[in-house]
Amino acid sequence: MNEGQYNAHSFRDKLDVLLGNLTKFQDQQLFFLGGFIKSGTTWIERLLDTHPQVACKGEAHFASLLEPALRSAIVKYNSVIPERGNWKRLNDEGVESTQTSDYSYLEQDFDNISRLSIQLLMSKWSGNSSIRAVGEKTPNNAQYFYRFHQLFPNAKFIYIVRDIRDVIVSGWFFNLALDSEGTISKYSTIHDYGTLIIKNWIQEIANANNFIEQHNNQAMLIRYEDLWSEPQLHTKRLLQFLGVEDSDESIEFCLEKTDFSKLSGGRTRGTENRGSFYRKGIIGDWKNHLKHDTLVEVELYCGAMLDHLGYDQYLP
Amino acid sequence: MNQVISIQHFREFEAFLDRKLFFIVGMPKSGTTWVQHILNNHSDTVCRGESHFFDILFPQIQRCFQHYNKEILQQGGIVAHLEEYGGHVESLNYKIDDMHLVLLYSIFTMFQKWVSTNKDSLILGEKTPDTIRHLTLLTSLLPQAKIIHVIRDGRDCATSGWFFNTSGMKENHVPARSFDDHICRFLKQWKSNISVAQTVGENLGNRYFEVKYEDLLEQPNREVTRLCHFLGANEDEQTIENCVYSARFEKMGDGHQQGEDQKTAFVRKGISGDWRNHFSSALNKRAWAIAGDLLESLEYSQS
Repeated sequence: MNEGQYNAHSFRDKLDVLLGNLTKFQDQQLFFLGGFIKSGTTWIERLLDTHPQVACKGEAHFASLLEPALRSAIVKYNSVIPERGNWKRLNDEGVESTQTSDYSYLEQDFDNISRLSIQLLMSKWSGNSSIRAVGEKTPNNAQYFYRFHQLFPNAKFIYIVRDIRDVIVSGWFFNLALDSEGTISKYSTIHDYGTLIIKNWIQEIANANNFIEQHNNQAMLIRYEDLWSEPQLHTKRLLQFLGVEDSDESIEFCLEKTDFSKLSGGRTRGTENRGSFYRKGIIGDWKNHLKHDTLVEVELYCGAMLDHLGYDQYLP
Repeated sequence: MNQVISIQHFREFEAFLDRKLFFIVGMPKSGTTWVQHILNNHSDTVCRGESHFFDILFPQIQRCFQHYNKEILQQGGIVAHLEEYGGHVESLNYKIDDMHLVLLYSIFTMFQKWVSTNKDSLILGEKTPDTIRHLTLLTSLLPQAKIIHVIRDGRDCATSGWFFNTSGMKENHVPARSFDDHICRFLKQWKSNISVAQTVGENLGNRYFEVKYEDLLEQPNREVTRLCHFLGANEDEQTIENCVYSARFEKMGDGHQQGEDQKTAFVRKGISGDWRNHFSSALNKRAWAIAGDLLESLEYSQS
């Protein structure tokens, strides 16, 4: 990059804007959305983002992409520095310093730099002064709730869960739509795909449940099926949880803007388009696609959890 | 509400950006470490290093965010093939200003390790010679910062560098380059980097200060007084005498005398003009052809 391009005055102006964003951000409620893929995380992200007091974007992969890259940079710096011109590094008394902590970034430093980086991005989503809550959705956030809580002790967490059987069906068609040949060669049938998914799902949801139990003031669980069948009630729950305005008008506004017909390019729920991100928008489609073998595995690995989550009311 | 980075911590960071900072820069083997020690021993200043903020840390930070941006775009691109996805990857992009802010925050974090309490009266500095190649970036990010550019006769720098680089090598090791080639290569860099720095320095006005190694050798108290004046530090005679004394050759070297060649020591010989003991007249001709104009403008003699 040509150093001559930098303009001192304009950088400080931009810096002031960035710092201003960050300052405003301090007063907003931070939250993270997570859930197994195809559980409706994007739907809820869009629903919340529609609310005038909420900004919610995704998928930033802060924990799975940003943090490892940042850590790598810091570790590299820390490892190179000792070799470079470190003759008689000075400490406070002006004598040779053997403390590498004087010249290396430690874990707590990394946490601070990571916090700043995450906030830098998120604070840009809330430029509008009416925003009270700022959130980020990446499905795998659910695997990192503990980490986010460590970085942001006051943040709130929303975990979205959906019937694993519908998750399998949705995921299968999703993968086929992205790469039909690759998917078939990797899994061959929806059953094989399901087998893999089941194990990941049960592990993730067990961890998420633990987190929610330990931090029940700051974490909530919502079922895709609940939002689907009682949208006003559960939207209200979400908005109250985030501490934003939850009038009937606001709720209707959000629901109307993110109605399936709006998201799917005009289709009503149940009208399938396998090439669309919003494929069908119903619950229970698993009955049309899953065979006995898969259902047996679901029962084996996930039966207890499905019961615990109240899914038995959806069993045939 | 969020107490993520607390408001107070933020205020400290903001205050840091407007603080009186200085950076010691220069070509390698010009005496930057010497100046660092002198200033670090002054009661008004703290000067640590080498932290390579601009030549090592920033490229790492940039690489990190560029990699992130690229991956995000790629992932978004995959799903965007599906109809109606409607994702907004443009809100998931780190701009160069963001990277600058992360760099500044990282610099702030490092300085905080060196000055553990908020001693507002202290003048804080850092020495990394290689920052000489990044002065425009530094001064645009830290408009209040001052630059101390340590200059030394390039021929002496090159000679010193030769012994510094080869001191660790076994006797029968053949260096990659001959002495003459090393000298010439170094002098090209010396001329180029100092010229650029001086150009940048002109635009910085009273935020830029040059000090010559040779002047420091000859008249240390006078030069250090000038340095302190530049920084706004105490110029009292005893204070100056103390910090000059604290960085005397006997202390900085390996216990040998000034003028005595101790090839394995970081502070090897501590004199000026040693190049004359090592350059053939042919080499000096070549050297002058490469960097003569700058040497002359800096009042170094040809022979």
